[in-house]
Amino acid sequence: MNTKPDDVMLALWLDDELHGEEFAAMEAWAAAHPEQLAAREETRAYRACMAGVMPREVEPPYADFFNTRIRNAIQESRVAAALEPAPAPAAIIRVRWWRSAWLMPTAAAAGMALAFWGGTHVNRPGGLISYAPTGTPAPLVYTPDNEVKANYFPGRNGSSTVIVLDGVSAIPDSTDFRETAWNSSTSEIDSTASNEDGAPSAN
Amino acid sequence: MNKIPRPTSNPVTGPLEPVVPQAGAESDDDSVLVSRAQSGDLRAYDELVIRHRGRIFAMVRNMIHNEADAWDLAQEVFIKAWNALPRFEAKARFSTWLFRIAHNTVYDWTRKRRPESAGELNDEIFDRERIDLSASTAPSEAEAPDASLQHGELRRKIEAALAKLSPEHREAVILKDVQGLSYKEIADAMGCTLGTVMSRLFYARQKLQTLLKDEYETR
Amino acid sequence: MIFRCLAALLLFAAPLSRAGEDPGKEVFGQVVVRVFHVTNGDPKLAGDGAKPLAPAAVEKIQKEEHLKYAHYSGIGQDTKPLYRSYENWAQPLGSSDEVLVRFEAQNKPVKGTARLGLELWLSRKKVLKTDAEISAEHPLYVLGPAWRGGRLLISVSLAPKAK
Repeated sequence: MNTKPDDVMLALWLDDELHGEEFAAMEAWAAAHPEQLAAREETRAYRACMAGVMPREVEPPYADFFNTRIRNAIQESRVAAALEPAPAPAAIIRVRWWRSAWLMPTAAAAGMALAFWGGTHVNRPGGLISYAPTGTPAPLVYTPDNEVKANYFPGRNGSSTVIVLDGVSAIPDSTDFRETAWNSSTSEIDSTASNEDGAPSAN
Repeated sequence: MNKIPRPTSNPVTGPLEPVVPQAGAESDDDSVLVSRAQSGDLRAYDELVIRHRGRIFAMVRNMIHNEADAWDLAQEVFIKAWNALPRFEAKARFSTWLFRIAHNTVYDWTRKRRPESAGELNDEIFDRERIDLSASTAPSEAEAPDASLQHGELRRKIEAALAKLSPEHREAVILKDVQGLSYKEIADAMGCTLGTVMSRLFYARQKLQTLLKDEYETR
Repeated sequence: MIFRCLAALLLFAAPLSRAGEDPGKEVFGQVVVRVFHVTNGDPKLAGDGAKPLAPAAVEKIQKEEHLKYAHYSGIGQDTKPLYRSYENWAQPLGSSDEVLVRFEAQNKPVKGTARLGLELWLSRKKVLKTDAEISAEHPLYVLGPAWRGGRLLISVSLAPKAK
């Protein structure tokens, strides 16, 4: 190669991405351009530094739990898809009774079992995951800290959802919230809402 | 043909020779699992997750510099990948395809963080850098046994320098110089042209090299 | 025909104009995060900043089986917009970041009820991630850490629509 290579070829060569004839041609050209050889060495040194210091792979914390969450999300979506009512073209109307709830297709049954673990907590290294028994879609509650357990009580019959955290570190008694402000970023709040709970109106 | 040896997998010592990804080897290993996963085999997909979670988590964490969110986002990448599996074509490299999804996921997350004019937020309080990343809910990765204090300090300098780049420039550097993707693969992952990747990388490296010049010349 | 098109355009453009150019900034409602001190001991330990709740408010919380205490005081509140496509943070204890709640909409509120993705951060660590349906009448309650002889109770609700 006698003429200067184009920028693309040069960049690929600098980053050691050329092979075969193209590489050989660039090497021949660079032999007459020591500044380019120096630039390549500089790039190599820089990349070696980066590669040596910045890990290419980092196992996510709680790796097993990481996979479990992905599996569960996939399975939940499968259940949700299985429970979706199918469109009913005339040709299959007569077999629709197979889809009725009391027959509980296997996938749906498995999914409902998953969703109705009601109060059961799976204690896995790296965090607790609870499946709240409220039906589809099942809310997910998890605590990243293995020491903390979230007890989930779904709202039913007019009650609210309550989560009781056990094992969470106490806030030191010396901590003072004296400068607490009653914050609101808008004047559109209905003050009666605040009054209902007894907390002062935001306005 | 001049072959560049593949570096060792030990991220601490690192290669002394240039890093060149071995094209083809990974996709051969993955293709069987991908095919099975596309048929609905969740166990095959689980294996793919195990194989690739390290790289995806590292990439996402380097992009958003927040361990707790990176953990969630990395999972989101794999969940989205599962949903998109029917559209994955065997001729493509699975890891590159994953990086593409990671790129989109990080981009969407960054957009959602908060709107520019979201009212009177106290930016200082909500600066994610101030969130205690050493806390147990955001555990740090285990330091390699022979990592020195200096090593850790250098990594912090590099991370700080990366944080000064725009997301596009930062991603180009992460994918090229940390993950070892080729230019073509980066272009595929970032959804841009080869020329765009090259110019972004050129600019980003110039800036990084200026910031880190003292560091790597004395090592 | 023209008027119908114009009307359709105006209706379509209205939410866009409210949210500026980004439909993600459409505000679905307001999320109210309150922090209470609940105790069976001396409520004065919560300090001067704590305000005893009105009886109606106490009665409402005490309906919950797991939240029955002798005394309830309000110690902080924050109200933040619920955006269509953006997360937001509530900081109910004033300048303190001991209790932070991150939230984002998972759907548009229907009949005053919205599903939110929520994270509770205590002492700058994420301790809980959940998704929950909330409304003005039915908050999500999280019974949290111990403090001064009682516990902190965090409630997350939607503000009722302004009358």
